[in-house]
Amino acid sequence: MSRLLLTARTAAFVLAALWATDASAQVGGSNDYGSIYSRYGLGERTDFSSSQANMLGRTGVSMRTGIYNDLGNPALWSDQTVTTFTVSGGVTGTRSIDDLNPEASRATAGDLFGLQFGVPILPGRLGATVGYRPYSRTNYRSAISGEIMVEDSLINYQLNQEGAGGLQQIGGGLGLRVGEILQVGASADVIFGSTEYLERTTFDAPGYVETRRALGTQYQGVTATLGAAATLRALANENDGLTFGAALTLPTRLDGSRTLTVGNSLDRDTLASSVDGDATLPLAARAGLAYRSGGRWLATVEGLYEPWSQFESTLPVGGFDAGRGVNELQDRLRVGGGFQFVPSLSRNARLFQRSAYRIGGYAEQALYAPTGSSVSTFALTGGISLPTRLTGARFDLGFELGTRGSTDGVLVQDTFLKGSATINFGERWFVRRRLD
Amino acid sequence: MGVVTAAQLRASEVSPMLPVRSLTLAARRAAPLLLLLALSACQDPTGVGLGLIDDDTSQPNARSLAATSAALQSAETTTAGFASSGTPLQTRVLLGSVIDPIYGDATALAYMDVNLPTAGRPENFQDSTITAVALQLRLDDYTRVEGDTALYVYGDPTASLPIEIREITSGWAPTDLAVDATLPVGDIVATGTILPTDTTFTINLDPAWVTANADAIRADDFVTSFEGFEVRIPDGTVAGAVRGIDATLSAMLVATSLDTLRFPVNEVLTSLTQEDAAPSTDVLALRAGRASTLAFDFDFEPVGVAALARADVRFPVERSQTGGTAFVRPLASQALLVGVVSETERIQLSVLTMPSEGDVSTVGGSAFTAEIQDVLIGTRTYDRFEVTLQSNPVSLDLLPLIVNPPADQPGPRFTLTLVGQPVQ
Repeated sequence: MSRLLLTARTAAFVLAALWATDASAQVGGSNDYGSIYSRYGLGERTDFSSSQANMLGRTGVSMRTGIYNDLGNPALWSDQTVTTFTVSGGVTGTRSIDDLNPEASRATAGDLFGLQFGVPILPGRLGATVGYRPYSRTNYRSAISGEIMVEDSLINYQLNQEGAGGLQQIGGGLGLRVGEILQVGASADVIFGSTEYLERTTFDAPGYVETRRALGTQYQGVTATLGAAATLRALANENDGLTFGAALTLPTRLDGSRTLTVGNSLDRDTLASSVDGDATLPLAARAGLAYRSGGRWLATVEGLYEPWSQFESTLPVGGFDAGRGVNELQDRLRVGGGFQFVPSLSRNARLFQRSAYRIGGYAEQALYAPTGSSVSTFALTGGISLPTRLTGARFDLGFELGTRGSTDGVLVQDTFLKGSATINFGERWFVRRRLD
Repeated sequence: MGVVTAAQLRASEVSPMLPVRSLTLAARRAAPLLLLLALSACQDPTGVGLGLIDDDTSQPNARSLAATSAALQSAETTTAGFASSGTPLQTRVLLGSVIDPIYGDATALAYMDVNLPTAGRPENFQDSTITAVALQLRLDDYTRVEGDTALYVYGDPTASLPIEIREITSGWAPTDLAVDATLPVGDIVATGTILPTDTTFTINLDPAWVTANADAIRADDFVTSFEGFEVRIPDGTVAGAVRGIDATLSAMLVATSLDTLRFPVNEVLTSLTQEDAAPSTDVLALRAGRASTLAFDFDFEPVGVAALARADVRFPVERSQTGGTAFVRPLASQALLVGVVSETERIQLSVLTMPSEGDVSTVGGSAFTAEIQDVLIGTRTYDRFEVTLQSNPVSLDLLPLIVNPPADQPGPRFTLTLVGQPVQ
């Protein structure tokens, strides 16, 4: 009976996740906005791999937990001993300022950060995982008001530059523990989605209609990720361990199809036929170290490298237009780290003593350099992981507070606060229980 | 040195659980709320970041597109119809004659047939004695472009209208009749004079005619056997004005020993003859009741393909010889803009509204703008655009448009509010 109830709960969350995915898609096309920098490249990169990783300074490539299936390193999927399911989402508020406008811009956007489903084929040795997560998000909006003289009448208007959409990433793969130290894994990911650059103009006078001129591009392609991890144990005491992990996502070429539409409100006409092209995403390399002591302490550091200076596209995108010789993209670099502390491992301890407390941070050089100026992000991350009555289930609440960019020249400084909620479930679905 | 197994890691991460039901419930309840929160969105945007987009080609701009040609063309129109029930609707008849050296002389005869009383005839009507029959004409009023209301008159507003009334002697229907069609009539059954101060004019018909037609009026087939009256000014008379009669409020009154019954006017025809306007190279004038339209050509090619926020077509109006007090020439308060796709496909695109001063123009709107947007994009092509005056209520309203303005004045034109530069 209890197993039935658990399964029903899991199913409910699966349904909730599906609903969330659908709602997120709808919202993504309408009114969620974030940073103006998401206009660059194919959108602002997102890096969800697990809720734990995000709370610890966006690390995770080297963290072995048994609960969290880090989507960034398939080698760690071999640690699975129970079937796991994760759904994570949240909301991000962004306040933006620059030197050209007296008023700040405020935006709020909700998003589904990731879904994953993992199955231990051979518990602790071979595991399979499928997952979804955004690869990038384009969700900017900037508005400016003006006046135009029409037949001796002064008409007020507002011109909105908006971006919507982003790329999605769905993939699956296997992780295998080879011997006592080494883990390896590989996954294949389909990257797909669309971005839209929209110019939407409204007029403050009767008789005028809202106009829309949109440049929409659809992309699709396939990439692969290779991962490895090596763990050494009992370095300083009998219960500690040091794990080195690394993952490499291969460069990939996305096929693109671009359409220009012009018209009033939602009634837009496609101009000419679609233009086909392609865009080549650079590789992504992650490497890090994680040190765990006695199950109560965890420290991790990680670096990421994505050579966006090698980005190529036959279709002009924000900050890149090969035809006009424009290339404002640069290599993306990030270093991050974090600590996790669990006050007590005792089963008799109070709830908040058994919770995991996490704090971290990261510094990142963005993949864009408008007018040659690098844009850096500094963020503090953290959160709490609450155990639940269900073995293998945790409820994580995280935050990320940071700044991006500066107000030098035409640059924009974003201050953002992201809140996240993640539910991790783990159940023995396909493994016979020794004790029931 | 050893390795940490997944099981060990797992044991360190999750300790055996005690029942913490309250937390589990809280988490379960919080999850949907968090999802809702996550999916909610709002924004307070400013121009922050526009410097990064650096797109100065997206600004709105207004463009004037002059007509490449203008001409009067013949077109179908009608002055007949049904006052209250039936198609086409026609709520007015015209009556009188006027000499107008500028926009042409005009003569109007009115034909009116009646229906049975709205409430029907009393059961004992056929047994009653008809003591008198009268024709009651309600002088029509209209709203001038200045916004006030006045009795409808074209010409001298102080002129009296001598009239003759005759019975129509053959069957007719107010459809497919020429503007200047006339109907066969009998002898005069009444004469009178409509004074300029009259708002309602009632005239008794000849008692001899009443006596001769009493049985017919009482008969069940009265509506089909009786064809109505012609009301006209006497031949050879120039009344100096043409007035409007409100057909919906006019009637034949039948007085009996029991009651007075009201037979409302329904089928109407204005037989309208108009001379041509004086020739002009600068002004093309439409006058209602003439079978003509003003046709304009526009070349949208130079505009290119751009997002269109508003389209208007505007025409300067020659007002100096309109309106007036001693000799009134009413300006049309509205006109129709028609897009001619082919000779068999005409689309009414918008309504032109006449302001108290300035150009007559459309008033934007999503439907008209969308049509012109399609023209810019190339998914719709119009051979020409036509301006026509409405046929109901029939009138002599004028629409004199300046087609060759002075060099410093705009002529007929489209005013297009575009956003961004044309797509190459």
